[in-house]
Amino acid sequence: MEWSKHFPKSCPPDDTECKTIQVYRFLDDNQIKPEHFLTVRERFPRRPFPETEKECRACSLSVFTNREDVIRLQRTVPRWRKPAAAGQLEETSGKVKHTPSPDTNNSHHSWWVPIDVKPWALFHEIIEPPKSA
Amino acid sequence: MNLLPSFTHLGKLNIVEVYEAYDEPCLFACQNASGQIYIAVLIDENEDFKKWLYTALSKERFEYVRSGGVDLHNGFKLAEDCVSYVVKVPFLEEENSAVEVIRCEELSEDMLPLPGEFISLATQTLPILPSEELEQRALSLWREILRFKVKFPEYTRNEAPIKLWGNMLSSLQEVIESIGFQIGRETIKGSVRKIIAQQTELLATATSGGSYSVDLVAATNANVLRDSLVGESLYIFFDLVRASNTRINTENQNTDSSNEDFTTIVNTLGRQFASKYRVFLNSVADAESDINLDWGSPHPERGGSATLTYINAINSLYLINKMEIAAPEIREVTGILVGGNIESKRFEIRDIYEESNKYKGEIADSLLASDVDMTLENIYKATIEETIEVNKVTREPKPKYKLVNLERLRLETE
Repeated sequence: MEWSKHFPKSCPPDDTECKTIQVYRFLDDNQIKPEHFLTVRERFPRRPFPETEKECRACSLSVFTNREDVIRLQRTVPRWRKPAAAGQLEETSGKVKHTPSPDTNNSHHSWWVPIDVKPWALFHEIIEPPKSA
Repeated sequence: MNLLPSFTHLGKLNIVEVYEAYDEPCLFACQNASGQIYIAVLIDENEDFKKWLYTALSKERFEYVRSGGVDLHNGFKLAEDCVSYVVKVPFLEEENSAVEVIRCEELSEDMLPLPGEFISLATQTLPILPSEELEQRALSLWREILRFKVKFPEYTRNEAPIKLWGNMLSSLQEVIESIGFQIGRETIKGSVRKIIAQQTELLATATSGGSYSVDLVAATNANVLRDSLVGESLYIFFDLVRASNTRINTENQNTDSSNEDFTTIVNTLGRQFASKYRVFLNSVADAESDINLDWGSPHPERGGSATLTYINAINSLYLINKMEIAAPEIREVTGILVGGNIESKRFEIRDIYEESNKYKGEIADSLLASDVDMTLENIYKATIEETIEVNKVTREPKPKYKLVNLERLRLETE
């Protein structure tokens, strides 16, 4: 797999894997568009990440593998009261690593996307956010 | 990159715990250098900064929010200080954070978690006391001390539902008293049950965390030999609890094969004890909880720790139910015959030492066929067979008595 030139050295790390897996990713509106699949680094090129691991993580896409975790975040965090899309990763879709929230064991994964993969093309169903009370 | 605001009146902050993260933490608790705890949730972000909502929490309020006693929405909306803070944290470290005070009633719903969302983490709300200190405390007080610890699975804080908790404690006292009765009934003269109840009484003192714990201190001192009836009773009780666990931990045993240690102890202590122990086991089963016991004793050869797991309590209950059905207990009672009917084969005897103890039941055919004298108001040494019937619905045990022998007692005259 070929990675973008802006990835730091040894990124993705060795403990990542290629696998077939159902994932969910937040969108900014209810359409599946390429701009919803930009990494933190691509969205915020000026933002500094001092540690190598954080820089490498900033080059990945956050996804959940458990739909309940998406709904939980939509309900608990106003920033993420956004639609999400469900997609299917294949072994050729890149490398993934389970990276749960530090004090939970949720299904958060980091997904490093190879340069020749169009991530938005792997997603189809949209999960609408709950309405504010 | 900044995650926390710096150089603001919120203080020098450090993250205590992260509850949600996506790309980065987005719901967390943090604390400043002077100890103030805040809960923070991400409202929005753009190219330059992240916008957060911060709310100060007292320690107790924080424990409730963390353990699911208060939902996240109300954790912010019903802040104790009636204000929250909208905090803008720039990505560039050379830029300053900005904090704006906002009255809680002005918080819009799109700034808040939705109602009904909880953090439900197990949370220590009471101090955890080390079990090693119990031995020294027992020596200081010259009394037995039992730390009775229960983890109620549905409770995230150090809290106990009083009905289950009360049933456990009262049935534990009955068990200890019943063991004491078996040990002391031959040697103690007079009102045996009352004296034994006094000598095996446990008093609740401190509560502590690490589940829900209470320290039970013997109401009476140990003697100069560091011995006491409650100490002897606890020694046997611990043996029994350990024997209960041996059974489940041993491989190749099925529920029909009894553990010898367990059945030996129960058989030695008798039917009345078995009945009390069953009530205790039922309370453990009702609570669906493991019981941890730490014991400090003034006696150098006593004390230690034991655990009665919920599963082993269930197994012990099964075993004890089978044992009681199989083995009726014979009681020798000195009492006054206060009621009797040959036709209906019924009797009633009042214990002369324990007037509150009355035995009513059936007269055995063998006794009716004999020529024994049965006169009301006379004093007899009665032999009574006790069996326990268990209500299949309520699981409440009920003793049944059968009078199998009567021996008239006469005042000795010169």
